[in-house]
Amino acid sequence: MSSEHTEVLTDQGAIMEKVVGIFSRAKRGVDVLAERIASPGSAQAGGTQKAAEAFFDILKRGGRLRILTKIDVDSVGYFRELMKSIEIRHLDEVRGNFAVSESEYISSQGSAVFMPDVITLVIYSNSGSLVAQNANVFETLWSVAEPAAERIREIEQGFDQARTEVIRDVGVTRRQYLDLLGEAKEEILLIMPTANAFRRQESIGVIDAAQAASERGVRVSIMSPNSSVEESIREVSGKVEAKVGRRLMSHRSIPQADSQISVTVVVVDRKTSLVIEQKDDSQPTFEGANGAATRSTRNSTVLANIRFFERMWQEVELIQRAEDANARERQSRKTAELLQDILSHDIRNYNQISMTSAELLRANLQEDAQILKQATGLLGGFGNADRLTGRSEKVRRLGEYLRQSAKSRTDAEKLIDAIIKAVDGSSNLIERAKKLGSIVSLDDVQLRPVDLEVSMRRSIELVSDAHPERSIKMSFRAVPGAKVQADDMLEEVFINLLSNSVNYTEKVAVPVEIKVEAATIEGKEGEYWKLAFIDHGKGIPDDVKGKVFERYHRTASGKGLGLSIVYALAVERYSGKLLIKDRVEGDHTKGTRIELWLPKAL
Amino acid sequence: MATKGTIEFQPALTASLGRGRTSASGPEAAARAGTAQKTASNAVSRAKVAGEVAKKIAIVDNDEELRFLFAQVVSRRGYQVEFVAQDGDEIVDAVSKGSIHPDVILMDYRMARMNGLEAAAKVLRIAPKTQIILDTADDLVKRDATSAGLFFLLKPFPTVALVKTIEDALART
Repeated sequence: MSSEHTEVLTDQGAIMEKVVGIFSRAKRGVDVLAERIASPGSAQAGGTQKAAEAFFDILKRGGRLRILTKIDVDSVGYFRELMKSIEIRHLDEVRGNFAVSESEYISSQGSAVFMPDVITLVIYSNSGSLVAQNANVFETLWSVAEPAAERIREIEQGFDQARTEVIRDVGVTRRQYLDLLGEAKEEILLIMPTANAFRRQESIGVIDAAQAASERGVRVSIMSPNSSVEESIREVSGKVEAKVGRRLMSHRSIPQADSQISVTVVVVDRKTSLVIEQKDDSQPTFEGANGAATRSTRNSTVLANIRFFERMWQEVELIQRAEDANARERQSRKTAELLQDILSHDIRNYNQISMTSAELLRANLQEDAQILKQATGLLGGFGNADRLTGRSEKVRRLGEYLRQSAKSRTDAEKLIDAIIKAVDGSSNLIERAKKLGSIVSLDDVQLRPVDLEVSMRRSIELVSDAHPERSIKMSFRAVPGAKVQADDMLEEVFINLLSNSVNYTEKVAVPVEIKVEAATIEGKEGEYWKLAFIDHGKGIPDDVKGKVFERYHRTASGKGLGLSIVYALAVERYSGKLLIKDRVEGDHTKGTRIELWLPKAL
Repeated sequence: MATKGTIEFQPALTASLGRGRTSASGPEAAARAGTAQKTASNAVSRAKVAGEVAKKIAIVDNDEELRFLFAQVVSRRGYQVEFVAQDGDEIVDAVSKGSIHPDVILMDYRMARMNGLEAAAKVLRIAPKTQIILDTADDLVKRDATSAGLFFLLKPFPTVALVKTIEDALART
């Protein structure tokens, strides 16, 4: 056997050769899925006969043959004969044709590959993964299909009509659709092919009926394209949850690009399915847009529809997960750029301070040298001084020089302080940027219960130790045993908030009050511990409040990255909430109150 | 370049000694402006030696240290630090009230509330003859600044660059 490959064939002779090859090489057997099977009488080409011979030859070698196809009134006689030698199962809806052995796969879009009359395009492959994938598809369908004997008995006894009904009047379909939803007792599975289909069905009352059903306790799963649809459904599902107290409605978005589906599929209680063919998506009404529908209570048909729904549900979830990962990746790239921007901006600012201070300092020293030189010169002249007026003038000037020199020295001290502060500031900035960088680049976040009291006490101690020159009084009323879902970085949140309180309080004494209470967040599930940090600092004006976290997302101003780190951790990493308020409502100059919600650990 | 301060030292001292008595506008105006920095007493002044009225400079920066340092540099060169603001709102407010009439505004870019370009646009609408130097650590705003007719300085810049740009700006008044 040649190495693994996949090819597209169009030449009749080559196709026949491949088909015969697969059948003759198959050891365990061949599985065939076919839209229809031509009876030997209708076979014209000699090649077809050859394929049929190779096919049946498998049985002689002790291999297994399985056919999955549609058995109807016309073909019932032929299959009754065929089922004596090979395993046959029936599916109401068969789309496509393929044959798969243990090592090869061939599929055609035109007709049954093993007995071709008109073949448009054939794909052949002996790639292991493709073969396995299609073997799996066959097994799935085989498991829900109906054994031929059962199907043939149904046709002969006339059961078929009773269990599967084709509805051509869309008005009837509409009534049946809504009735079906109304009768649901346990479960509704629903696929809407387009956003328009959702709107049309919403307007005839499908969503209302689904809501009513879920309020009765029926689980409703809906798949539809478009995120705007998702919002509408989420809203309904929220209402249901509020009323019933359980999440009963769920939704998945089908990617817009996936336009292969052109049917509405409804399965109720795993017993009845309704498949509505969509013929024109541009039509505004349900009646205008839809064509024939098939309602079935046949086990195999219903199961096939359930499998279809479930496979798609999983697929959509996989796609969603991949998109989420992409979004995270984009976000972290954005953050990296932003960090770079903040770093370069603030370090340039610090450098400006250092440079200008140093230059002024140099000028100061030069001036000072001049002053001293002139003063010395003046002293040198004292010896020769003979006139009282001249002498007192000299003394006055000398005093002036000394005063100048003293002032220049005081200025120099200020300038040196500014340089030290700038160097300190940029070192701090680098540390914080490093920390923020590592927070946002961590994809795999492992949260665990963290004791609030332990974490807070340690943070308070650290901040107090870092400011020995201040008299810091932090009053913390702990709730013993209170734990939040977080990690070691939680202290970083507290340290940043507490440091801000210290830095923005102008007096030496820094009173900070920290409160803890159980709380919830409106519109969000779950329980939280709500912390309040209340200080007497200079506060944040209202129009700046909204922007203090913005820096992390886009440009704002101010130094440091403290609140960006708090935001990245508390909101993005721990799924909490952060609010900035005034200590005294309406007067920001009296201090700040920061409220922080963190999810309770169970 | 490095010796410039030294060369000009002698007249500076003379001028500064007389300054407190003769200049009425400086400290008073600064006091009225509220946040204004006290002007340095040992200002270097070429303009004043020539007997002219000192040109007025306003400084806008959200960094306290830089406000102080730039005020030092500017007043050492003999200019009057007319006003010091910490954000765009303050300078726009002062200009629109007519309480200050700076010849040149040294304007930071990244500030709370409005940015330096927005503030510059508002100032120029009220006082179109004002020359504005945008000094910023953002290297991406240079084109915006120059195409808006502003002077541009990228932080960090040396004192001589600041002085030269102020002179260029004043030459346009």
